[in-house]
Amino acid sequence: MRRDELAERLRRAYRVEMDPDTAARQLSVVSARLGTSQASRPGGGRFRRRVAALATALAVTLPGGLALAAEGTVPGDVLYPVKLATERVRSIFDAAVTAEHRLEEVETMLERGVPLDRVVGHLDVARDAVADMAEREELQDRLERLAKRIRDRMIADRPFGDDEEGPVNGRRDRQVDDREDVAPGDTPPADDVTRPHDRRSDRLGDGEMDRPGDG
Amino acid sequence: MSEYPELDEQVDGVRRRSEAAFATVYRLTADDLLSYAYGMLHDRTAAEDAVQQAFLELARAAPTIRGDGRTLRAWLFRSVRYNCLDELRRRRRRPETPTDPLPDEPVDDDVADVDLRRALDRLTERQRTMVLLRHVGGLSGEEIARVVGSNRVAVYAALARAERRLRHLLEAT
Repeated sequence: MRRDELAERLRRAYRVEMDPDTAARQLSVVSARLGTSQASRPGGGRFRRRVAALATALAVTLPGGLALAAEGTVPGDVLYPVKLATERVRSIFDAAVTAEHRLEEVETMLERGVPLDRVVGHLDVARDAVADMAEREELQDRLERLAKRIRDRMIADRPFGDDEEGPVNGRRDRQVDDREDVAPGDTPPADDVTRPHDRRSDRLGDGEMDRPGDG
Repeated sequence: MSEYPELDEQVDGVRRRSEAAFATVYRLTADDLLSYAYGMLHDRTAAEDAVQQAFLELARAAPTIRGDGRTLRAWLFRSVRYNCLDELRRRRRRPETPTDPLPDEPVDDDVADVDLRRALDRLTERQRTMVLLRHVGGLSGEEIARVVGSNRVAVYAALARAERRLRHLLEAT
């Protein structure tokens, strides 16, 4: 077999294209990540750092009232930087506090009816935090339950054309069928929305490029 | 300017986490990344996940990205490679329970060329990566060197060995 024949055979077997639906879904998840990432807000970095520094000082010097008030906040709330600041202090004593907070925030966002693209983005942040606590299986379980809730909500929110389904019952049947199509067997339901971020302790950095995953 | 002028134009936007820049980079690279991941994993869905994860990692690491479009492209391939390795490692740890597909259901592992798949599986991961990056992802020797952390001369030598072995394996089937 010649080299060009081998190349052609490889291309024929493995050359594929991203289908438009998958591309749209992936880009929406990436956009959500860009939107929820704190560093993504243009021009806000210095202000946020100042707020965080102030909050850290307050958290250390003031009684716990402020910290308590910030406890149930989610990204976008005024007191959220306070929560992050106290979290940094608390995480010295309890490494799981960050992961627990991120999971609680996803739950709160779901309960508040925050748009799902933002929730999905924050779920990914939570995944990262949980991945750092791999030994705490209950956190992983909680994460997976949340992922399933989000997936169910996404399926429930999916619009249907009036000409496709008439009665409400028909729509319900369709939704159940879709769910079965998308998440067969034991596949974690939200894994096609986002996937767990794994530790990459064996990854080596080199040369001029930064190591992927080290952001 | 690198040989990817369209990507070169997006690097600044990526550093600033511009959604438009990310969308353009995705449009320009997703098919190549997906094809490479598919060759590594033989599973379309898992390959799509590997690509998505790479872009999420890029979203996180964007401000630290240096270089031009070629560097960015290599960064993404490198990230996809790591994601594929993670997935392969996960499979080894937890082998999936085989299930019988329904008669009309397309099999997810739909690589029609079974001999090729088997031959590829007998290469080392590094050899497989080089062969796929070259012939499926369309990367140059220089780019492959950036992805696998080597130099161009070593890549060409290793690639030649890998291709020779692959041809030998295919001819033996």
